[in-house]
This record gives sequence, C-alpha cells and structure tokens, in this order.
Amino acid sequence: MRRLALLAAATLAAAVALAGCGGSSGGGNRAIVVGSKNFTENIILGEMIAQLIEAKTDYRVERKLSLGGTDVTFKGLRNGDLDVYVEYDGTAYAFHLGITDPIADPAQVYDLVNERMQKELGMKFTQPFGLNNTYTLAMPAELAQQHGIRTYSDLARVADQFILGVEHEFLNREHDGYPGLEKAYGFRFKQVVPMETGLKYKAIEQGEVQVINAFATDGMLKKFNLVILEDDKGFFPPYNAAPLVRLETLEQFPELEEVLNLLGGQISDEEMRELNYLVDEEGRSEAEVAREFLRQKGLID
Amino acid sequence: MAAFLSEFGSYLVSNADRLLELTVEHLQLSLAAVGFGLLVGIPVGVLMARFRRLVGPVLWVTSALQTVPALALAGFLMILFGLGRGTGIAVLFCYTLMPILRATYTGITSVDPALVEAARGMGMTRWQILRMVQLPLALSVLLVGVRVATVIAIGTATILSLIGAGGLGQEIFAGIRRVSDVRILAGAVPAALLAVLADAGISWLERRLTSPGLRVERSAAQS
Repeated sequence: MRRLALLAAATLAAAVALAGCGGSSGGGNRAIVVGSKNFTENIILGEMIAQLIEAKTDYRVERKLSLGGTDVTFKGLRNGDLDVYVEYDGTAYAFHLGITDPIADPAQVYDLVNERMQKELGMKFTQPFGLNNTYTLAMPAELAQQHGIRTYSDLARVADQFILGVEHEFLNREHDGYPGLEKAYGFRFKQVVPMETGLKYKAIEQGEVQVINAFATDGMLKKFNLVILEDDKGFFPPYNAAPLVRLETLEQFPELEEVLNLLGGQISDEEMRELNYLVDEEGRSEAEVAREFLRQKGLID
Repeated sequence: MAAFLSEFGSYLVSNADRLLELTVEHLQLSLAAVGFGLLVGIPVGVLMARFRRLVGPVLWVTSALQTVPALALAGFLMILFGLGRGTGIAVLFCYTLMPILRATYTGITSVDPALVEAARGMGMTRWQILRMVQLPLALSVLLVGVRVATVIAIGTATILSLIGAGGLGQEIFAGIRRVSDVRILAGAVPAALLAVLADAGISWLERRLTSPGLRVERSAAQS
C-alpha cells in the first residue's frame, strides 16, 4: 500500500518538478494571447502581430501558435483562451456565420462580415493585411498540360481519372469546402482522400493523388511545381487575411487596435508567398521571417 | 541515406536545446496524466473488486472513452480546461483510466481466495486485507496497467500540440507542414525513445517493488 501511494506520489511529483523547469508563465498582469492555426502563413502572421505588440506597447504577449484548425482557434477566441488570431473574411462568412447566399460583391464581404461578427459574436476584424489567401485546386503542371486543364470546369470533365487529396477541414466545410464545390462544378473524382495539410504535398509528389486543394499563397506550390486552376464560376469567396480580435480585449488594451492596424494593407499576395517560401522551402523560422519583414517595412527597429 | 543521417545529426545538434525542452514538456504532460490516472484509477479499481455490480458500467464507460479520437476529446474538453496544457492532461488522463482500472481490478480479483480467507481467519479487517494482502499481491499486475497507460499517454501526447499543449508533436507537425523528414524524425525519435524508456523504467520498478519471495510464490502459484 505504501508502495502504491509512493508510486502515485512520485509520478505526480516528477510531473510537478518538470513543470517547474518548464517555466510556466503565471502571475503578473494579464497577457494578450496571440494564437494561430497550424499552417505556415498563419503562424508567420501570428508572429508578426505578437512582435509588433511587443515592440509598440508595454503589453505582455503570450503565443499559442500552431494550434489545430479553424475549429480550435475560433473556439479558443470565443472562450477567451485567445485574444487575437489571424482569420480570413471568407472563412468567417461561410464557416463562422454560416452564410449560404452567393456573394454578390466580393469587395463587400469584409464589411458585411465584420458588422455581423461584432453584433453576434463579440469579435471584430481589424484592417486587412492586403493578401487574399483563397482556397484553390492545384495539380502538377505537367499533368495539367497533358490533359489541357486550365480551369475547374476543364478538370470536372476528366475528374474521374484523378484522385483528389484534401485536408480534413476542407472536406468538412459545408459552404466553402468540398461539399459545395462538388455541387457547383459537378466533380466526380475517382476518390477523395482526406489527410493532414502538409501530407498533401508528399502525396502529390509521390503520385498517390493527382489533384489537391491548396491555398493561393502557399510557398509549396512553387517547390513542387504545381499549377493553380482557375475558379471559372467564382465559387470561392475572397479570403482577405486580417487579425480577428475580441471586442473585450480591445477595451482592456486600448492601444491594441491602433497597433494591429499598422499592418493594414502592408502585405500583398506575392509578398506572402515569398514569406511562406522562406519558411517552407528554406527552413527559416517563422519568427525570424516575421521580424525581417516588419523591419523591412519600417514597422519595428 | 548517409547524407540524410548527417543532415539529421546536425539538425539535432543545432536544435538540441529546443528539442530537449519539448521532450521535457512531453514527458511532463504524460506523467501528470498517469499520476492523475493512478489517483483515480486505483481507488475505483478497488471499489470495482469490492462491488462487482460496478464492473460492467465502469469498464463500459472507460472503454468508450478510449475509442473517442484524441482531437475530438480535446475539442470537447477545451471548453472546460482552456487551450493548453490543462486540456492536454485531461485528454491523456481519459486514456490512462481504462488500463489502470482494469489492471487494478484484475490484480485484486486474481489474488488467491484462500489467502484472503486465511487473512480473514487471522482476524484482519477488510481494510487490512486490502492493504496487506490484496494490493501487494496485485502490484505486479497493476504495474503492467501503468506501463500500458504510460506508453499510451506518451504516444497520444504528440497530437495534443494541436491544442497548444506543447510537446514533441510541435516538432512533428512542423515537419509534416514543411514536408521535412528530418524534422518529423527529430520529433518522432525522442517520443519513441521516451516510450521505450518509460516502459523499461516501469518494468524495472515492477521488479524492485515486488519482493523476491512474492515473485517466486506467484509464479509457483500460476504454474
């Protein structure tokens, strides 16, 4: 009996001791918790926000980067576990707000979404960065040429010869993911295989799949020589990236909104693709790439 | 292959500090879960052996828990425990329960009834029988459960970096994201080593904690 108690005590003690050297952050004034989803671009943008807040204000920042998909970050923001993370207005439109109406004017998505997010969910987008990271379909350049595929409609005609690799989230997004896309274009792929985001590129490189869903600003497209097909029916909404922040946080940290807006309109699609490439292909760290970019723009010293 | 190994080696060396930190986080997460698993699992296992009616429902619930995918469980538990370590430990705790409970129950019920009878004949109370006869004799079976629970916890902990719990999963997922086998292995190899070492460590403990006399007696009784 003594031994059993000892065993349980020792296990917990070991965990606590390890926690001690893990250096848990606690006490002191509240920190702004910056989150990010688990793909390169979102982590880089999360880092930029974090570094900019640290440079421009006295607020403490805690990073919770590379969390699971949209579901985790969004839930985290709603619960108050996160204060801010980078979201895309198209995602808010179709996923968080569940709007199914086709988009009449892409330029108005941001305003429309932002108004409803504030009223219904207690959060808002600050100014968008300028980049539009839309969903798209990509396939090896060679294969596309061989079959004369340039648009989604071209692809739909020969889709039964190909296997589509997608990430789980894309498969599960009713309105702006595969279920909607399949209906809009009448896709009939030989098979649709869900997998982890990064594994899609491995799979397409090894020929396990021939078409994948991708992000327009993805650095990997260049590395694996993939072409983006044209969404000729305009199915996907725009996905303008912008910090999504709790209204409560903005009240608690009055300088925050102004700092976040410093990034407004600063990053083009091309610049973002380059930053993603630096991390994905050249193996630099997200933090380093973010810092360099902020310096280059003269936002930090 | 040689080129890959040397790339892997130099990556390990230049990132040793960070990898070590992740390993510590990983171990900490797993051990905390197993610790709580023991605190809850052993008493409940003992109760199950005492009140057999409990066995069905308890095992049913914990087995069902075992089949829920880690991320789904995390998505649910993060409402209670927030994003980060707390949820990570809670998820792993759920997975350690079943093996510990089952081992405690099996260990106690497989003690030779004649021994319990003899103890009762000597005038021992129920508590004394549990403390002096049943638990010591059940220990080696119980530790098998702890071993399984620990290995499960270490293995599952990798996925919990996705809810901000840290650990070696962070490195593995960074590797998957960048299609970098070096980084995937830099996370996976230490995680596998942790599991193997924990397994060996507990089986060492098993030998240390079971007195030699008991071991002989048990194996003689089993044969």
